[in-house]
Amino acid sequence: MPTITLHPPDPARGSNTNSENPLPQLLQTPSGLAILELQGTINMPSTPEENSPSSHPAATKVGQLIFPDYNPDDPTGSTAWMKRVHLYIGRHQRLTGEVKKLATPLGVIRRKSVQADAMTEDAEQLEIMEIVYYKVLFSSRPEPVGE
Amino acid sequence: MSTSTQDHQGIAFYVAHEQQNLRLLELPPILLELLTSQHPSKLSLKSTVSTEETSGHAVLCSDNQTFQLRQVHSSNSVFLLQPSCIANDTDQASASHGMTTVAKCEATLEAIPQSIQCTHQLKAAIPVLSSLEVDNIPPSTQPRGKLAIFDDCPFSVREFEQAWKDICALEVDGQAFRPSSEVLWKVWRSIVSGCILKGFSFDQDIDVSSLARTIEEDDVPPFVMRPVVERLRVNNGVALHGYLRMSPVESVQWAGTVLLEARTEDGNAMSVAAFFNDWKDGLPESWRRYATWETIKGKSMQPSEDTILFNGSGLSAGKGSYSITKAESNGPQARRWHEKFKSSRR
Repeated sequence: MPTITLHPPDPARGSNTNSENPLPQLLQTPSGLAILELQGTINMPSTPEENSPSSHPAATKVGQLIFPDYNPDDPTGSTAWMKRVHLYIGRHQRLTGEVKKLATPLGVIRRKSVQADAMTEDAEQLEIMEIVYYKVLFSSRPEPVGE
Repeated sequence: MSTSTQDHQGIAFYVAHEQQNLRLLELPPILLELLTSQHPSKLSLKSTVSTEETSGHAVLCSDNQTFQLRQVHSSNSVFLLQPSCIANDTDQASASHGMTTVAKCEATLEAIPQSIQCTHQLKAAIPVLSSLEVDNIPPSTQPRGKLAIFDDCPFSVREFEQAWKDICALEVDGQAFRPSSEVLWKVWRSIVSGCILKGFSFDQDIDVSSLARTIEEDDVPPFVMRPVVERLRVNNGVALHGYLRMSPVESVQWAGTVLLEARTEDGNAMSVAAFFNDWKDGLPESWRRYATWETIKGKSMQPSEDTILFNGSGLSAGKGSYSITKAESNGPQARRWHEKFKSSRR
């Protein structure tokens, strides 16, 4: 059996993320990765056609994530805001959830891009991109909302 | 629809059209500590070969510890989000900041610390050297060296090295072997008589090279002897200039265990009196007092009051019931860990 190397997180992983992280500080990780868990699935609109213009966005907006009680300037550092998070899907559905600390932190694993001058071609390598300590959990069904 | 960063303090939520293949691994405290330390160490994923009876399982190894990997499914959908800046469809000029789901994880890998009987597994995986006439070893069509054996053993480097040392394993012409208990007993007898012949005191440092030359005349090749003296040396001792000291109690216990295994491996108990007689007979005079019930306890069992039997506690040697011995006959199927998980998901 070949042994597959699993690399630890890159200490410099935070340095090349250029997108501003809109999440509350607590949920931010160096690479920006965060975990969101919900009951059921998100039904996506049909995938864009192949012949669509190249400028077509790489992602589809499906809703809004809202932390109604979060105040980044709160001097007390209260964690009460973690109790309530909303995820609006489309215009008529809302999920209510909370931010939870993971009992066991999670490593996010991906295949490591091996450089061309690597020793062997078939040496598959993996890396832990990030370690995540919190998740946003929506454990109840969506409720209908008006506009 | 507005394109600002936060509508009502909200964060635009996107789903990427191309989802990445990411997996989640639970990090128990030991692993977390390793990965978040000042100098985080690499881990490795190993797996056993799947056979008809058992499907191969993957393990995660640190330098000195092994974790069994188990796939845990959740009925919930778990998404990984990443901050993003998405060019907007209707308004090309304004890009919108938000969070985008970049991967959906079907299952989480649970890493369970495992205390495994590496010695038993390794014993089962290595061909037995049952004679000291090493010139008569039939050349193997597919010789497997230490490294190849290690690749097939689902445990960490240090656990492997310890087990390798424990069973006095060796390599001849790129082929790994473990001496049978019969052979080990012979080697032990030669070491004892060699030391006596050379006038070495057992409680002092022994000149290993000199001893090796002496017992080579006894038809014990040095490469079979060396793993044995290495196995029995005082733990914190350093072999300075080829000198080392053997640990009395450990050597006596080891010799007794090897003798008992050699004599009762077939499952037929031997008389207690005969065992103690042979055991003491094979020890240096000054060490005979260590040959007690206390020393052999745990390595033996007593089917009746006056008989004794080797207690291998687990796999008997050479039966090959462990799957890795079948590695050669199996093709490269189910080698990749993710393919393995994919098939087990059903």
